[in-house]
Amino acid sequence: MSDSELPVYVITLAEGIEATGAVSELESHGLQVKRVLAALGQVIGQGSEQVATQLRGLDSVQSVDAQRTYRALDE
Amino acid sequence: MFSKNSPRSAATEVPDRFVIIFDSADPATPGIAAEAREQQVPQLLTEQGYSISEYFPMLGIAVVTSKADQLDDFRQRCAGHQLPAEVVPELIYRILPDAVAKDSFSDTGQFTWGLQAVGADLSSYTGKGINLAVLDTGFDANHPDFAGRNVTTKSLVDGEDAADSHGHGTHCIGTSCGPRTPEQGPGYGVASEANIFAGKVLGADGSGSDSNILAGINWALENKCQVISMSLGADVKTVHPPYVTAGRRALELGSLIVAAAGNNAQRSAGNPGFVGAPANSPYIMAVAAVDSKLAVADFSAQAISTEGGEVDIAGPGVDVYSSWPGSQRYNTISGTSMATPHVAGLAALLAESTGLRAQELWDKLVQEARSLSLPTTDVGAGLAQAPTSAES
Repeated sequence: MSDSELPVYVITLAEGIEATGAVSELESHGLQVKRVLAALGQVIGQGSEQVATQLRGLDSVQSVDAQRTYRALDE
Repeated sequence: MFSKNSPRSAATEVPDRFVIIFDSADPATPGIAAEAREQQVPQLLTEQGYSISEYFPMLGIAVVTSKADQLDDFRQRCAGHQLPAEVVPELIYRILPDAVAKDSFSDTGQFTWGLQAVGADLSSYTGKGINLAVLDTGFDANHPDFAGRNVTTKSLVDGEDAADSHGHGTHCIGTSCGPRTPEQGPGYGVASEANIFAGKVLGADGSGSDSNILAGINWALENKCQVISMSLGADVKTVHPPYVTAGRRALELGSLIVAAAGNNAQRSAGNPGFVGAPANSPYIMAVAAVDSKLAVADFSAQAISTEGGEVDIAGPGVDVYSSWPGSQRYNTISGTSMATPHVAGLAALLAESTGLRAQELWDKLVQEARSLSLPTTDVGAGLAQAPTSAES
């Protein structure tokens, strides 16, 4: 699987964890960070399922969720 | 619905007609005995020359025709018999306008049916000073109806600029923030003087990912948008945790997110559907759609029994006329997508008129909604309403 085909995850950080400061820890576990959402305390990144499993075990992480797709809701 | 003596109901006093209440105004004092109500009171009324045809002994209340000075004399006579009597003018009550509110609307040359149904056509509030973000397919910032408006655009979609090659985003921005008095056609925008923040989170194909949408919410919060409108969704029943956090943090930062409940119903075929993500986040307001007769739209999703799966409120969402990109300029389309920007615009008007933000703004929107004779699972608190001048 090439890097571009890796699944994308939304990493929601635990309460009080500052997003920018958490990036290096997430990267050290293999996450390829795409976006840092400071106001929301979330980081968007790519990685294997094994990376996601590792991140779920971190104290600084509240949840790791596979990215979903949405659409405009006109008829 | 009745009311008395308020500026909105205008109850009026009837000349020379009074209501006499044979009771103490002090709730700690026992009421008068049944024997007194049945014998002593009618006797005193008759002695005073009052008719007892409108005396109600079980209530201890009489309605009489009298001059005011004659009543003073009667009150003193009652006091001499240790009989408490309070006198108030008789009032004529009228049905309040809410109780006879229209339940069918149509587009006119002046306003769309949606603006009329939510009362935006009569509101003096315009959303001035309020930052309203619409996260959608982008915006045609060159649309002539938006010339001179305060517009900020941003694309969160990789490889696409902020322009709207789809149309949905320009339509939603038109409903939430468009003009009430355009050069041609009916007024179609609720918050016609709000500051527009057009965040492109859905691509030209009308779809987008969590990455784009969450980045759009983050951008709107960085820009201190008090209202964020999201006419998008996915047909999944489970709550997606990132939007629980996003909705809660938005409220903490003074922003209210409203989102389309979903179009997955087909009520005419017996399928009521369900509120999808992200509207099913407990901290995001879920918006249903009604038609111009204030019936729930066939496609509008119903509440489900998970926390956040409620429908919170409804807006006009069938055959909605609004702006469209390019030379077409206007289009009429349907969806909970179209109901959502109505509610977002109304939130901006209420934010302007009351100064309320976040959860308090949510509560006010729900409180002020027009009750509909429909299940709350379909329309929540009812049809969102604009503040009038008197409600500031």
